[in-house]
Parts: sequence; structure tokens; C-alpha cells
Amino acid sequence: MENVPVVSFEDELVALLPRLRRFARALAWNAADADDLCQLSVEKALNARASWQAGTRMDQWMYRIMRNSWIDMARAGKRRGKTFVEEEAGLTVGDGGDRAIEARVELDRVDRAMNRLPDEQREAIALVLVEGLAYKEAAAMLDIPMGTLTSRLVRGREALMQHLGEAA
Amino acid sequence: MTSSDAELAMAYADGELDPLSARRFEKRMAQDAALGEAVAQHRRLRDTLGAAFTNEDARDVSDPLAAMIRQSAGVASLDEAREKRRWRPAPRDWMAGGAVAASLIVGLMIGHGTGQPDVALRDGALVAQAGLGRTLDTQLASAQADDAPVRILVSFQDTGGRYCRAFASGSVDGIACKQGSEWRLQSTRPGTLAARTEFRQAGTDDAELLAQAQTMMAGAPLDAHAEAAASARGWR
Repeated sequence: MENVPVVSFEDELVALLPRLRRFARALAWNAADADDLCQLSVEKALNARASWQAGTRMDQWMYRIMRNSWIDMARAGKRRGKTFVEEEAGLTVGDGGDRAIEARVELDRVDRAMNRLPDEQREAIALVLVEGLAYKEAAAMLDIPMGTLTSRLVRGREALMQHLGEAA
Repeated sequence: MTSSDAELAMAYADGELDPLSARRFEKRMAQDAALGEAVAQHRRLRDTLGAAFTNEDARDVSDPLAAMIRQSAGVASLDEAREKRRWRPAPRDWMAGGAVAASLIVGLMIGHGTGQPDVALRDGALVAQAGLGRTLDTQLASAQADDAPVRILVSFQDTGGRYCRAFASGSVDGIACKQGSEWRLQSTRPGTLAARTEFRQAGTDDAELLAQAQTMMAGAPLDAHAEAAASARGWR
């Protein structure tokens, strides 16, 4: 692998950023936590660059780093969490009426519903419904059997549908 | 609905059933409206989540994290990069500062004392000339003096194929792209270099410009070799 130029690592990581940001947003439930999570994950990835094997899938490598970072943030008490969401949602509501604002309100609504799920269901949903991974890929990444993944998905989705109302 | 039916409906909605199971499920769905409704609900949920988070990822075009990753290739401790990100206003803040930029540019065009000013207005476009123009033509990011009056931050090709260079100086920072024989200024802000040299902290003020360069860039920044070659060709 010596002949793979170093720059390809950075290129690949930069190209992955929008997806990482989205995954972070789905795991965390507010923009501030998601930003911190992204930052932390990218730092870890840069520090762990030596352990990255060129030619393997960077998205899965990064998702794994991000998932561990999210757990670390919880342990270190660094998640700002719930109260922040309410505050943000409050600000958004009084803010005007264009499309960007509507999108924010919708996102806040989905955030709040995601927020009520246990971590294990939320990460399964983030990988499959937000990131579009196949069940097999998601199960491999989470190190769980397929059956466990599908049951987490079913329970998580049923809860989400309930929180989001009939229209989902 | 049984739990296995619930899982089937979900897997069908996600396209996860093998062809044979999918066909069997479709047959049952034709007879059982509840199954069809379950599938439709799963699809709606998927759309809802997809739309909500896709809006989110389009939110921020210029990305300080991307700049951090690029910079990590050769330089900077991550702690320093992190501080940069935390305390920096978003790039759009200074780019939107039209009034500030206008007064800055008028000052630059008047020039200081006898010399020709660094910035001129030609055919409605701001161009770098005189000392700044020469520096953009000749100074290599890979080989510049610590106390050079203009510092090149990065050289790259934009998506239109032009060579562009982000720079910092005492009077103006910005990004200039070579168009024909001219260095056209794509964006400007008040210069940060003079204030910086006292602290010998090259790099701490560059994140915004680098982030903006990142959004314009096609591929990776020029390395030392490519930069020297481009300079030798007159940046064309």
C-alpha cells in the first residue's frame, strides 16, 4: 500500500463530510452536539490515520469512529442533550416563515422523535434510513446479528411513527 | 399484525427481501390492505427522515472541518485547529460584509503614498497589480520567507480550470484567480498579516480563507512541484 498517495486519505475524508455530518445529526439530536461529534470524529480519524487501510471502505470506518465517539461523549458527560433541543425549537418557531425555517421546524420535529429512542434503535435507524446502508452492512458495522438489527429497526420505526403522528 | 409480518413489511419497503420472498409478500399484500398500509407507512417514514436530514447536510457549504483535514496533511496541531474553529465567525459573515469590503477596496485603490496601488478596477472587476500582482505571479507557497509582506496560503485550480491563490497581507487578504493576464480578486477582507507577525503565529487566521478556497477547488491543492510548474507557465 506504500504507493497510495497520502492525499487520497484527505480527499476521501473531505468527500465523506456531508454524509458524516448527516449521520452525526441523526445520532445526536441537536446541531451543537452533532457539530461536536463531527469535530471529535474527524480529529480521531486524523490521529488514527495510520490505522486506516487504503482500499477498504472509509465510510464504514468513519461510522464506527463516530459511533464510538458518540458513546465517549456520553460517558464524558459532553452531550448537551435534551434541554438544548427545546431551546432551539423555541427560537425557531418565532423566527419567520421561509422555506429554510420550515425545514428547520421539520428537522426539530424529527429530532425530538429520534431523541426519544434508545441509542441502539437510533443508531440502527440512522444507518439504514438516513444513511441508506443495507441491513447486512449495518448489522456488520454494529456487530450484531441480522435478527437483532431488524427487531431494533422495527421497534424504532414503530416508535418514530407514533411520535411523528399518523402521517409520519 | 404479527411481529413477523411487521418485519416483512419493513424489509419489503426497504427493498431487503430476496425476489422470491418479495413476490410472495406482494401476493399477500394484494389480499390484505393492512400489509399495504404498513409498507406505505414505512416508506413515508423513510422519506420524512431522508428529507429532514438531507436539508441539514446542505446547510453549510464552506466547511471548516474540510480545511482542517486539508491542513492536517502537513501542519498544525489539532488543538490549534480546534481553537480556530471554535472562535471563528462563519465565513459568510465576512464575505457578506459588503460595506467593510467596499471601504477597504477604495482605500487600497487610492494606494499609499507614491507607489502604484495593489488593487485596481478594470472592466468592472477588481484586479491585483503592482506588488501584490508580482507576488501572486512569482511567490511560491512552498518557499516563502517568514517575513514576506504577502503570504500565499494555498494555490489551487478552481472548477473552471483557473489557477487561484489564497493570500494574506498587511492590507488585504483574499483569493485571486488568474484570468487572461490578470489576477482577479474573488473575495477580499481586511488584511491580517501585519497584526499577526508580532505573534509569529502563521496560520491561525487562515481557516476562513482556506475553507472558502476549499469550496472553489477542483481536486486537491497544488503541491510544491505543481505550484512551481504552474508559476513557470505563467499560471495558465
